[in-house]
Amino acid sequence: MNANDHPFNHDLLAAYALGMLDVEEFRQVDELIARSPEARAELKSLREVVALLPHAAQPVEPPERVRQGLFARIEASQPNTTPVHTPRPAATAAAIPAASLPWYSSRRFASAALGLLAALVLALGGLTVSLQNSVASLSQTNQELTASLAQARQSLADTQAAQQAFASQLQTSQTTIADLTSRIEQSQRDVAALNEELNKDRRVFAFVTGPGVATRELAALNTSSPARGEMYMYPGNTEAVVLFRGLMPLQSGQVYQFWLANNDGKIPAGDPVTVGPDGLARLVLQAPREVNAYSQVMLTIENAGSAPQPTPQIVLEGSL
Amino acid sequence: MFSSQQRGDTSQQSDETLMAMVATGDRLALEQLYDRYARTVYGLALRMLANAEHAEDVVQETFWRVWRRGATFQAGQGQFAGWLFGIAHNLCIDDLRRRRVRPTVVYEGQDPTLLHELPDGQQDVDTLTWQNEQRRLIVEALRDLPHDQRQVIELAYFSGLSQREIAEHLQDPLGTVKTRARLALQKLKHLLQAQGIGLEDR
Repeated sequence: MNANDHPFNHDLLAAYALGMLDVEEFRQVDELIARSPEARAELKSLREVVALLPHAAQPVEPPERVRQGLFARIEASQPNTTPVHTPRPAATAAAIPAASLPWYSSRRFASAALGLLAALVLALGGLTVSLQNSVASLSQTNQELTASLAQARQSLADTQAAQQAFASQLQTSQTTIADLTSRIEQSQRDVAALNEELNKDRRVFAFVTGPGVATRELAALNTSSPARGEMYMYPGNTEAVVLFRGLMPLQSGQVYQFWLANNDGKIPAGDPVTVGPDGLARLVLQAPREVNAYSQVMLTIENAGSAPQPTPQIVLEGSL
Repeated sequence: MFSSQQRGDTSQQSDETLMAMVATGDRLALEQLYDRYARTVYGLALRMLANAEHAEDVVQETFWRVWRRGATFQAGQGQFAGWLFGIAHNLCIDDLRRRRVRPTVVYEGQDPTLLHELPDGQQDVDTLTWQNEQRRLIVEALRDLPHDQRQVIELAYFSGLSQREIAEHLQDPLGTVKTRARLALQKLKHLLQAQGIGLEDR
């Protein structure tokens, strides 16, 4: 390296490598090597020479206690190991005033280590208390959580029982609702039937009270019978209404049948008459021709399901 | 501690490999490095401090720092030996300055006994380690330096004096001291290379 090519002081670098510089010059060289690759390269070369200088001193095997102390110190520095102290022989240690020993010498180091150990013991004590507090706190929290868990389980059991009860109630309610629905539907059907009957009654009432209506009475052949009938009709009209009262209940398999008759014969008129428990009945009939074309009507007792034929069992009879 | 068999497992490893192992907490590797360099470090400390007890402390503290700072050593940034000796040298300087005393300037006059001291004649020359041979060559190179340059090296490195203290001690200008230091290092470099001591060698 040519000194003329570089502005830095080569003497300063050599002094730096040997550790001869004052603090201020040391700082200057630090700045120089930070910015100059050439200075760094030269310093590296000088340091390589300096690094060989220790070999110039007579090598001496250190006492075995140095090795033992070193590795005991390392062992003591490891986690979870008991510190090992390797004291110097008492006579040698006592011969050296404590103030003259370097900070890392055995006695001072032992004092520092003892201080450090004491601080460590205190710290560990504090840590132990802290851990005990933490354990107690965690135990308390654990108990609270256990109690909460038991409560939650009880609450869950209660909820499940309530859910089962609700399910049973729901089933009952659904059954009840279905029954009520069925009843409502039946009622609605009944209401519809009643309405239909009412409408029939209204039509019958309107029919029997209308202007120009003709009335014919039907009388029982048996004078002791309470049965009576009135037939309402309009001349030239095929429709007629017959009201009955005092009809006796029939035996099972028998029905009342109404007849229209003239010179051509007799024809059944309308469906079989349905008699209420009060002996009342109503018949609305539609004749094949105008009602006044017939001369006679009668109500007979017939066997249910058989072809209607006038039988001797005539209950009511009338002339038109 | 470690068995001899275990020690043998690391005896052939390079310094840098051992340091990488030390960085992972391998005490066997540190013990191997201790076996290699403790004698040199202890000799340097004895030379600088002239106190066996303090020198022992320097040895222990040096390798303790190697152990604790193993991860900070960067292979390629310099040789391990230079890094290790730098730690030991700084500890010695600190000790000297802490005690506010100066060691006996041993290299005065024409009898630098320590620098010229060769291996003990009782040692078996055939079993001299490479370190001992290296030391012999380094001592010879130092001896070949001009007296005034060798004097500066001695006072600066082994006695831990600052340049101003050296100038005062030698009654020479400060600039002259610095120039002698530079010339001494340059000459040493050339002498050692001429003797076949590569600066990259241990």
